[in-house]
Amino acid sequence: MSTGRLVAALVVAAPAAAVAVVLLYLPLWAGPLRVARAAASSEALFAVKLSLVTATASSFLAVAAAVPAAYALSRGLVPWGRLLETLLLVPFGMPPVAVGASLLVFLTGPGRWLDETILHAVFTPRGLVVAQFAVVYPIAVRVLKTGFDAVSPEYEAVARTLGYSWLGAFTRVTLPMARRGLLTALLLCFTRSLGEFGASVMLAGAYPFRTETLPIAIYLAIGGGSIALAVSLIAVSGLVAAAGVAGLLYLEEAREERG
Amino acid sequence: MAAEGLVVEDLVVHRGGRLVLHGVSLRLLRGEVGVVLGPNGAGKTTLLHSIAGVVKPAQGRIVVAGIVVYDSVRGLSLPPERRGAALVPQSLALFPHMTVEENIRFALRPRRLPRSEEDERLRRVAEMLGITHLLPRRPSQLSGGERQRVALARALAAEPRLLLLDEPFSALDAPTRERLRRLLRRILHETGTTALMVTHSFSDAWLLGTRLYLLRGGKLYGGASPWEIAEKPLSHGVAGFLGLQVLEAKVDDRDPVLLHVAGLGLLRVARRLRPGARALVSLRADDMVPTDREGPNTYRARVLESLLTRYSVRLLVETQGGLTLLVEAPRGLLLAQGGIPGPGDTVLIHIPPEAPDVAEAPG
Repeated sequence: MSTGRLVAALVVAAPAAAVAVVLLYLPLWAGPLRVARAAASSEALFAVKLSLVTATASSFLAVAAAVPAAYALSRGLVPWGRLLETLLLVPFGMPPVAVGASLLVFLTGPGRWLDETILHAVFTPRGLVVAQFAVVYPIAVRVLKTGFDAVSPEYEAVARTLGYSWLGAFTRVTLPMARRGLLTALLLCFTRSLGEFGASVMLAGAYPFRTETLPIAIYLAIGGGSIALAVSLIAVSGLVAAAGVAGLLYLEEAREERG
Repeated sequence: MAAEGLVVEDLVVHRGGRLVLHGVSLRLLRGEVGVVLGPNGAGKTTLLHSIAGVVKPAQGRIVVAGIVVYDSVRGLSLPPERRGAALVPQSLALFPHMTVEENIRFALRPRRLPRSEEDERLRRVAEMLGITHLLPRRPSQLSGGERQRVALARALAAEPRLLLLDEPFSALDAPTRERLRRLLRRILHETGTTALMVTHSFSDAWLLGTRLYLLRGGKLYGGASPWEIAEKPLSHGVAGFLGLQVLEAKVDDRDPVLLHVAGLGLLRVARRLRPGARALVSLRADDMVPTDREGPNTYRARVLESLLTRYSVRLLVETQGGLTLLVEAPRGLLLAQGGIPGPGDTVLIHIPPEAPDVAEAPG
């Protein structure tokens, strides 16, 4: 093996090994049996289920809401597009806890009617979805816009001249051609929603068996001294993350092959 | 009126704050193939997109097969799907997520035909373009020529009132290009489809067009058959654009068919002009014939450059009067006269009186 290849292997293998060592050390340290028992506890199961449900809901909602916005931005259909896009992406650059706090202040102040009539988000499980949505929507807009940018408007133009309405051309040509961007956005939003803590804890609160998602449960378990539970939850989140990241890498590879 | 396939009147189009087309008008009869020649960036694609309804003009009127699809005065603008004008863009835009068959069926779907008729139309159009064996493939598995045929099949499957072709052969190698030109010519003729094609290729224009236009500076010139334009480039205002050599001359005071051409000398022409008038002479490179005999309309010139091309020899020569001319001659003719002349050789160039287009100079 040449020196170059050896160095390349080392710079990749070393951090990967670090990740593996840290993740594997935790259950050994807490006692594998205790961790396995904790993983089957009702609290852990509740947290996993709630996380999966809220992350699924928020990621689908975010992508659905981001599709028209990203399309309009990509095709330059809105005046002041650059400014509007910047505004849409601002929450992406903010600390999630700040996003959650802003939502909490707004929905208990001037936006109270919105919360009371439609959202019912403050200190409720629905608040988890709202908080996750606020954090991942900008990601969805960004990824989808890049996806639409890659589809030349000429395809739509041809579809239109062949007899399709705007909507027909969009659903039968543009959207299927941007499907990888769509899947990437979904997966990114989903994995990011699963890990969402700051905004969720501010808006929905940290109530056991109520708003207890995976990260909130880990936070509560560590705070309450339930180390085995915390470690089992960390292990579960590691597995879910591995599945999500593997999916993303697969999508990227498939796109490269196609391109 | 009913016999008109496409009418464009006084079309004005802005793009990105720039005036791209100003006052473009053209008229094609049904079944005619109009060709718009123009350099890159002249606004050819914008013209097609405006007719297709993909780009909105600032003013003008567009009528496709008797149906007004755009009229700025009446505030009328039909959406692309109701114009009956199928677009084949330069990129072809074959849908990569569909097979060839699905691409063609895509054009048939909006017609809402019974399945059996849809199948029959698919079969017919695939047969016509010789792509039946390609139906199960994806566009990424096709060669350039195959992709081109599929794009044409998809557009023709829609049975459009007007076919809009954007540089249809630009990405193809010469033999494929030649084959496809013949195929398209035959298909357009057989189906009687009115077509408007934009191109920067002179060969495409001459081989396919029944009516030829030239787009320059946002305006259209010409509007006659390629033959007429080739024979009378001066009267269509396109001689310079076609790369023809335009010489200045004066008509003899007594003889209306004798011109005094600057840098050349006396030139006898076939057309009578006003004695004493200033005139223009337009010469194609193949209007001038190398000869081995002195005589009228024959000029001695020195070869500056000699270039062998695919079908002919090009000679850049300088006359005794200091005029530089490009002469194109068959290789066989030059060989029969003793060989292909090289730089520094002297040649005799004959201009038949019927060859040049002559007109009185404007102004």
